[in-house]
Amino acid sequence: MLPILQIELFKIFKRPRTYISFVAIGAIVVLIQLAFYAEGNNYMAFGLQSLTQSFDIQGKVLNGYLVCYIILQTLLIHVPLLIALVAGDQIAGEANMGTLRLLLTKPVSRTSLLMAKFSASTIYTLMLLVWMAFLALLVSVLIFGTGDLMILKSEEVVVLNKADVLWRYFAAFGFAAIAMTTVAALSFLLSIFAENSIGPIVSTMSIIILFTILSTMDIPFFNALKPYLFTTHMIGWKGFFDAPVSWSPVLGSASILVFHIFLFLATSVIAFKRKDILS
Amino acid sequence: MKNLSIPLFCLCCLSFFCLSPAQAQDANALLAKVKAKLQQVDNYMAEGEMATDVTFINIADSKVKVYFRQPDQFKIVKEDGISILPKGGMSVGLNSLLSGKEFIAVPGGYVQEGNNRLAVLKLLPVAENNGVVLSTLYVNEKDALVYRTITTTKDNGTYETSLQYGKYASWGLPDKVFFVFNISSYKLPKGVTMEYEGSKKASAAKPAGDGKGRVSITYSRYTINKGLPADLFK
Repeated sequence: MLPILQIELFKIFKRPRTYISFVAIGAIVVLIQLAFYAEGNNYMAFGLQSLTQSFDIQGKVLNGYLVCYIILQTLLIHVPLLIALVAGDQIAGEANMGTLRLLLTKPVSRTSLLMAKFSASTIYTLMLLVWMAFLALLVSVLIFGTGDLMILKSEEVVVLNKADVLWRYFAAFGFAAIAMTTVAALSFLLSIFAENSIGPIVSTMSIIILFTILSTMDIPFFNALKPYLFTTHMIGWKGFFDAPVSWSPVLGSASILVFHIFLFLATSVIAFKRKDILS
Repeated sequence: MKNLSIPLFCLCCLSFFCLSPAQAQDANALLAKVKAKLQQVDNYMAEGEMATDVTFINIADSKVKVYFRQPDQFKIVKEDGISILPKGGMSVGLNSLLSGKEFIAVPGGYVQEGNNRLAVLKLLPVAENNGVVLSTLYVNEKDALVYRTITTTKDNGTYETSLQYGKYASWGLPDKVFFVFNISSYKLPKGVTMEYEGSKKASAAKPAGDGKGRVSITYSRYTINKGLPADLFK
């Protein structure tokens, strides 16, 4: 399978559109960092005004760790689009170009081919997250320095000690890798049923947007649905920033996402094996 | 019985008019004694550990440095970190509450707290622009140490401070300060970003609390009268 994986990776990274994601993430992160560098203190004063009316907050609230948290919060909603851009193209793109039938004439099983393509999509997803981690965490820390991390939630204000933050980011990026691989698996599954890549990309984003809206709306009927939507669990990385970490729900969410990855992948294999390839 | 009531009333009036000035004099003298003790300290830097117990603030205990400079400059700093204190937290430092301010002291009797018989002093600020409306001090007359204060401010509600003394008692500086304030009226704003359901459940499972916030500082070391730069308090 390794040679096929190498070929698939070569195909992914040969396409210029693959790099759109890296450029987009780079541009957004740098813009956010620039904005915080120029106007960060005003933004913080505005964001904390409800708290500072009653409390004196001393210390460096605006630091690299906080900027990274804000970037993750902003970006992890949009990154699924960038992942769908590549994962949704894996099978549908080949079908669109008319190379899928030719590809399957090679002495490789359909399952191996699918696994290689999915592994390549996963590697791309992980590379995108590593790039994001490098920019959002490392560059932010270089520009803004480190310090305690203060997070404002609806229920409480959490202040994490500087020494207790870095491992949480590693864990959060690990969790984000599982969440984004779920998106890749969904997009990959939809790619099986399409003849061009626009369909799976748009479908993936539509499903994520719809599920996210259902996850966000605080209506009793939708609240009953929330635990069954994978988008509810995709923000489980935030659980690592509780003190102490609520391991049970975080690990539960990770398990549900892993289950979805296997479910989407197994469905992809079954559907692809039964598919009559005409293009 | 009727015959007795008129002389009894006169006796009460007499005792009120004759004894009150003497007690007021005592209250002011005791306040002066407390202030004199505190004024031995022109400035200090103290190291200690701060613990915050507020239902909606989740912050670990941390090492802090506390700075004071006469008359009322007071600052708590967590090195390289974030500290959150209620506004008007100046009451944490007794020096900053009393130094450089004029009060009218009214005696409030005595209370027994543990082994200490404490004189109660009600302090009314003379200056109109003082943020404090009323302060009540519980003072041990023997050593002029303040063991408890209750301060009502114009803008920030009522604060209660308990003080424990040890090796720095001769300077009037406590080894431990326990600060209680009202948080029942405070509400955190609803978050605008998506929140993780697992975190929400964990927060909801916490006990509701009694509407009071508590901050304690346990001092390990004071550096007294060694000078502090003015820009430290900017």
